[in-house]
Amino acid sequence: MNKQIFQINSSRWLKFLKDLYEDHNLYAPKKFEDKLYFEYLEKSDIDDISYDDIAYRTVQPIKIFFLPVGETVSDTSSQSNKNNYSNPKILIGLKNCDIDALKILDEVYLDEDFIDPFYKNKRDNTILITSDCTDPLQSCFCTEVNSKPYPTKDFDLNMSLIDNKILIEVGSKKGKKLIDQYGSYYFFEANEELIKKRDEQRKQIEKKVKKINEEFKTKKSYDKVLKGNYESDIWEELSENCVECGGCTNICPTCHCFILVDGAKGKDFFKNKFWDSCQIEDFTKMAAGEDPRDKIWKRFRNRYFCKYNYKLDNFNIIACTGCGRCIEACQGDIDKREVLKKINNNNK
Amino acid sequence: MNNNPYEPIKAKVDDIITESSTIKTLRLIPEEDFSFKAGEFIELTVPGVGEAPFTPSSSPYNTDSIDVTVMEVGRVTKKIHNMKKGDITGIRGPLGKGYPVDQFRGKEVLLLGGGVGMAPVRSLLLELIHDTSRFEKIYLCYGAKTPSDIIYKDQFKDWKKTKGLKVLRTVDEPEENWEECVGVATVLLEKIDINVDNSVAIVCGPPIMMKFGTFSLLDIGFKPENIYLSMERNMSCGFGKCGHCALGKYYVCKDGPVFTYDQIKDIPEIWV
Repeated sequence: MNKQIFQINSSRWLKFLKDLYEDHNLYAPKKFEDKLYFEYLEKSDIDDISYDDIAYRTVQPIKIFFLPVGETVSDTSSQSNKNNYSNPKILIGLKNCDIDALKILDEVYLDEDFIDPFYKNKRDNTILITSDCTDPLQSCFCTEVNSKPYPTKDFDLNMSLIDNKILIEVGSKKGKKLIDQYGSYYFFEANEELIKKRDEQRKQIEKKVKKINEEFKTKKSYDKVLKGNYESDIWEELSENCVECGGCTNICPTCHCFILVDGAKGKDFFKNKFWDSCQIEDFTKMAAGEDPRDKIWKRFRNRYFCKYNYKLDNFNIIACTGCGRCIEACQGDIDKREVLKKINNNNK
Repeated sequence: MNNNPYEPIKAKVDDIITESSTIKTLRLIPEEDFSFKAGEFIELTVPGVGEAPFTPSSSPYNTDSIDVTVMEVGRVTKKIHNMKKGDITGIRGPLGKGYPVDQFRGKEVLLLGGGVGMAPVRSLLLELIHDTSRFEKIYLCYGAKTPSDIIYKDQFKDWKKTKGLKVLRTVDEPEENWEECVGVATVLLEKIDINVDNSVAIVCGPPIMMKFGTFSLLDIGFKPENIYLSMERNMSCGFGKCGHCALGKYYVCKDGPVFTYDQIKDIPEIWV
């Protein structure tokens, strides 16, 4: 598809969102202190979205919309067949790192051999309106994992704020349909000058992210940094401050592991699925007691290899988007970039 | 399988056979059509309690019922051992990749089983002896701790009479009247004359036996790509999503549970 870019002024954009509101549930980031959180929007909230405020990623990972912390996946009671139809969701203000994360989740949950119907249903019923990063956080490192602070594909619509105008790039048929259906008259073909300005702004932001990460820079990509270091002694030392809270995996937008728990309600039985973490003791323990990851450092090491090597081998993409959420969440102040840098230096 | 891979189908417990002091075989009758290939596994649900992975031990040609041989080792297997005839279980599957039997055609097939690891091996053996003419020769080498720990005792008598199949057994701790071999399962490899250039070996048993079994096979000249290992990990979802059974870049549930040694030999903790 040829790139289609429209421009719209913010009052018209708000009208457009209000029109969408009639048949969609809208979510957008709201600011509390200096952090952003995805919140459900009431119609009256639409006027209050401050686009200057959605300049960086939210605290919550995008997976909360597709993989609830807990969900019933099998239920023998007749109630389970009820059709829980709800309006499609529109997520506004996602960042490129959020979109990158969905690629991994899609690989896992839409694997054609075993499609997860719960994930698929939510995925099909969600529209992704992304926006460029304009004020990256100190924990951001998308540029170090071969990505960028603005989306180039896999979104439905993308917003860039330039000179009090909003540039809207169409990224999919779903996105185009939304514009055609709800207000093609709100949108005009974008002015070339504005597009040039957008591209210039993007370059500047990319530089900024690179600058933030100057001290962590490694010459080789992280998968190559790790290669050959699986059995290195360094892991015990690197994991010294890990308190095994599982925060990094819970907050990670690509971590997809879960645990199935069976239960009974009277005569009926169900299976519930909850987020689980490879960082927690007994994650890999077998019934007879053997456990291939019986030490903290083995579990700690697994997270790195899973993200940068195993997913690359299996899906040809790494499972780290450089969002930096794990860096902020860590109770032991472990910065993944420092860990990788230490391994890199250890190689010499 | 329906379009929700988390949803089990019902299966009634039709019979329970006590194999040893810690091992029972449950004969299950699925309420819907169900078939599997040797080496593929199922998740067996004890309703309301939990589920655990097992490779069926019955013949894949028997589509009326499936046998699941279970050693009591944990919470779910304890509940399974307490089940009675007529109880309802749930099964999900078949899951994973089984033995590539077609690739065994015209070859000598060596089955090396230990303890309850004989369960998947029995299913494969029954598949192989369904028509032994497909193979040059079949060897069944089985090791157990003591003679009373040997499972499928009655069937061994029939197997010993099967043309094209040679059966050897060993125990670690013999009792009086034991006239067969003594020692760990690998001692049996010294008793067979096999052409390693035209053979495949299948190993299933406790981790230590898998390890030394594999090393012994390599010693006698087996190539890594001709050694098939049935790996055990904490398989939960069964289809490569929950992450509990990761083995290097593989998920044992989806990429295995049967692997060639060649596929996994460079992964450091394969023997746990």
